[in-house]
Amino acid sequence: MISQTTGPANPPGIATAVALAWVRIYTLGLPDAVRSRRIEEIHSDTWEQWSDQRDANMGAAEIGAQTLSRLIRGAPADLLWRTHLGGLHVNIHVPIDRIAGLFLLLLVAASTLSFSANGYDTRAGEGFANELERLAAVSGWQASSYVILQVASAFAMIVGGAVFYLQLRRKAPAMSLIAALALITAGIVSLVAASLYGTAADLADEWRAASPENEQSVRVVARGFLVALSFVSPIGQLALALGVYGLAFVTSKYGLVPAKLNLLTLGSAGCLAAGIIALPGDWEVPWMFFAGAVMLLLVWLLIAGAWLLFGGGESAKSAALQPGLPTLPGGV
Amino acid sequence: MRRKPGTLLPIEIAILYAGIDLRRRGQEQFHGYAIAREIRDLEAAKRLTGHGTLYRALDRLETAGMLESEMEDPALAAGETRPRRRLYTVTALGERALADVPLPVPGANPRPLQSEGLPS
Repeated sequence: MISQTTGPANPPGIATAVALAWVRIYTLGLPDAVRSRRIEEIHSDTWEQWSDQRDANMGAAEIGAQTLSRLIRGAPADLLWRTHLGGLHVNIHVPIDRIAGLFLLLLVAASTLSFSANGYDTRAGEGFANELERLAAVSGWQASSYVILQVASAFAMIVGGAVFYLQLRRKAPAMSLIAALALITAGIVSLVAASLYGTAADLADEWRAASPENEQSVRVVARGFLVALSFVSPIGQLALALGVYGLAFVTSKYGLVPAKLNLLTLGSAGCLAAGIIALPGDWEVPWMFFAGAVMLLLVWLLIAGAWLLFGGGESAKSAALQPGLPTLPGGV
Repeated sequence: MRRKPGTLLPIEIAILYAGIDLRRRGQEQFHGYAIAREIRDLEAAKRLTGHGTLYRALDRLETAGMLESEMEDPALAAGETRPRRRLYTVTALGERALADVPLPVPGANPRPLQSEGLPS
């Protein structure tokens, strides 16, 4: 049982609260006796300091500043002490596939929400001018939400790719590396795309408000960003698709997700191929295929993410099979 | 870089020194904050030792057998409505280790220690 530091004996102040929060963080995962002892000592120390310095007529702000100063100056020693007692692995066993599942679900959530936040309007006509009009009609909060969600998706892709590589590198080094690189590439491209979109949305607003003499120059710059976005987005989507296909193959092969889920990725790959073949014709046909490919990928991500996160009967097994896998701190 | 076995770091010397100084003044045991304040006063420093630095050093000294510690009586802490203190005592081994250290304490600006009968 870890000691409680609440109650009448708690010295007041944010600095004390920060010091007590810090000791609780860096002692996470240590045996209860060791953890309790350090928490009790810091609790007692902050109380004694507060009591002693208050008796010396020191102001609350100065006491707080000294407490924070002691905390910051001692933080490296805290971390060294913690590492000396067993690094970040002590008593913390979070199967890495649960972490991977969490990132897949984050990716699904962020991607799905970003679809509805990007301001896409089926009634808008095609072409650059219409796209600029559409972007100018998107509200500021909507554009910001889209950018934030895109960044969250990118984060999920990059970290998810790294986590999957750590998980699968011993079983399928080449395939897991390719899948991870594809996911990380997709994440980086998404960051670039989010940045281009945000800038283009700002320029669209500027274009709408521009005086007639400035309108043309703003238009040209905005066009440059939109053209860049139109090149970058498909690259990111293709990299994401390849990354997920690779993951689907490896995770099903090694029993981390049900093999039946491969039907979804095969269907998605089929749609993607059909869309590429149909590209020379009317845009509507390939667009439908691409949308189908994305939808099937999202369904795979959703099911696979939930399967990994909530166990699915394989989590414990995979953790037991790979005792050398890294574990992460925290109580996921 | 690993230090030589048996050598003491300046913070460890300061803790042992301050602990013995407190004992000489009638305080057999000390708690963490008391020793931080004592070190600050002995060294005429402006700042108290950082939490991590202090408790890591106390931990090392206790592991090495130079300090002993025990939790104080809970009734005493409850009576004064404050958290329980962990009380440390410098052991004979700690005293001997400090006696082997040439004074003055590195980085310290102490009161006239030797004249007060502290180990030299």
